[in-house]
Amino acid sequence: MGANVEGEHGNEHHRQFRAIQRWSGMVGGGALAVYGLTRRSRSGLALAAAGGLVAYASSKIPCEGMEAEARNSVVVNVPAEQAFQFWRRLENLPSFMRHLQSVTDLGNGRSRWIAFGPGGTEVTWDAEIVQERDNEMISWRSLPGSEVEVEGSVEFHQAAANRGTQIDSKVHYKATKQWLKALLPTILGRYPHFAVEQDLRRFKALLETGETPTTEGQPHGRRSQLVGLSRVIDPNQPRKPGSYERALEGARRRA
Amino acid sequence: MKAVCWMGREKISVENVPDPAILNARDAIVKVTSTCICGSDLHLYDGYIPTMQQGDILGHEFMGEVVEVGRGIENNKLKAGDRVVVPFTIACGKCFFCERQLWSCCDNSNPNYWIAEQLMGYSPSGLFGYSHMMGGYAGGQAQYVRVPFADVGPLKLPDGIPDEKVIFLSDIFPTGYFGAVNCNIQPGDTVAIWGCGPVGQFAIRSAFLLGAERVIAIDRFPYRLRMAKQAGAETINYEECDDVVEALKVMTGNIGPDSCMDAVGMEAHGKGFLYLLDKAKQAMRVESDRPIVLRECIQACRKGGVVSVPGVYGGFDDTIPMGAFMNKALTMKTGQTHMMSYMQPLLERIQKEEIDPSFVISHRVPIDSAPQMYKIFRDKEDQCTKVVLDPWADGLAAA
Repeated sequence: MGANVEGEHGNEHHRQFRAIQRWSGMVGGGALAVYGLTRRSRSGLALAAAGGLVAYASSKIPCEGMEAEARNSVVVNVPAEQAFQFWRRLENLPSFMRHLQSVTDLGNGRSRWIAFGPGGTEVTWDAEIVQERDNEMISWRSLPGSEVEVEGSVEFHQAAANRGTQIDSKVHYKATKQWLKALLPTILGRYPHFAVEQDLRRFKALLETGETPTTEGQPHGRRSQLVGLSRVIDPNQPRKPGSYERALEGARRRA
Repeated sequence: MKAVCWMGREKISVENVPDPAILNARDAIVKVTSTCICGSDLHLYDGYIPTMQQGDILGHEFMGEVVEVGRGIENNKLKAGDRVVVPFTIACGKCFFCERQLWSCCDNSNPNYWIAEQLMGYSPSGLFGYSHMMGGYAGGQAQYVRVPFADVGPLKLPDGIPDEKVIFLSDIFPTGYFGAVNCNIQPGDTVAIWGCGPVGQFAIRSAFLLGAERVIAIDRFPYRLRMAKQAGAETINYEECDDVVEALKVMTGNIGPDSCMDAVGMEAHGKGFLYLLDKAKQAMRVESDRPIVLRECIQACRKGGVVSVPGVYGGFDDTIPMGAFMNKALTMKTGQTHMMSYMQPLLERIQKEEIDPSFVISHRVPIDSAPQMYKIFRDKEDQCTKVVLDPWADGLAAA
């Protein structure tokens, strides 16, 4: 994660406060989960689920402020032109960036981005292309006054030994309002590099094979509520929009 | 539909689950006509493969009839009505690795690649019914199964050839053959093969097909050694022998086998202090595998020879004799089988009647008997070598 945006003054104080918030949530939530499990009842399970969620959500409070930078790279077995063209059609981005609901081209290099926010909300910002060179690079940033400040870039290089195209991508997020802090972890998952890594792997699979591998929606036998819940709150899984909410809802219904 | 589900360590249950559906454009749905329990499924049964979850559908050896294909599959590649055998590895056919025929290393078929990367650095291909680390794909011990990238993996079969002759093209025949290919057999070679389970049996026959003069098979179950002998192998029952390495030395005039194959893997049995130590460490989860056979292979192999490892390993292994491996200038070749390279040529060998793979079957049962059969197979009861499940037989009548 990047540096704190609030400047040197009060920096330490804020960091401490967030750290306290984070650890108290994790410890408290964890305790609740353990207590719930020892009840060995349906309501106990719901309590455990809620505790687990609190602990999990707390663990995702960024310690370092409201800013995050992530970068990653991948080699895709297609020509640079094809990779560039796919990325440049910004409407394509949600097909491999899971936190995005839609991107609409507004013309003149401008675009409207809608991301999945916490609690089923939407977060919208407008962005513009800052620079682009055909088959080489694209960079973009949000327009001034957006709730989330985003700067991103992607570069396309010919990979060694004709292995296709090496793609290096970088994103920098900054939340301008206090409540939006919660959005960053929602977008970025467990840690920012991982989210960009997953986006790039999905991009690679999509371009090479025409689809992204998935098992979502396949059948399975009975899973206990705990196994089901642990699948939903696994911090390593790509976040499906609204999955906390559905998990909570499910736990509530069963309790 | 009925499906065999992993419900926990040593807990298998046949559950009623929803039918699978096409999820991606290159998927197909196959109605399963025959499916088997594999020796590697026993590692799941015993709880040694991490990232299994209660309710996961098991099975990676299956064949059947295509009932539906996604819109991304061309008609000449695969269509409803085709009879197919499906390889246990899932490969996209387009990535760097697939282009080089390293099918089991496909880069695009494991949606949970990062779990495998934590353990192995990079992720191998997705597998059917073999833990979430390997993709979490629902397996084929069921009445229907979803097959991703179905224009790459499934091998179309001619009519008239019965299931029992071709079902093992899904895994164990190519796997035994791949193990023998990895031995780099030269005419006149001696190959020692540890493990006379189904893969070992196919490895013995494949070694002969590839030009080996002598095959020495090592196991402890007389009925399995008998089967090896029928294929022309010499045998060693390690329980009746003080020292396998010494026995091989004597049998080969102090040269050693040209290649040694570990067709056993992570749950090897053996004798002596190191075996007991491995067993204790594995029980306490401080060592994931029991590499007794791997150690013996390295010790027994002749200088400059090849160690081939088709046996499955899961994690980290102690006390590997690296000194012997280095100083004897050995080569090790291993990997999940690159299935798509071997299925068609082996089908042709079956059609030419060079081999009839059905010799390995000991049990044919309805799918409802799967829970008992896992136990019987694991405990080598009832002279069990290979279990074929019929997903559609009436379990109550036949069990």
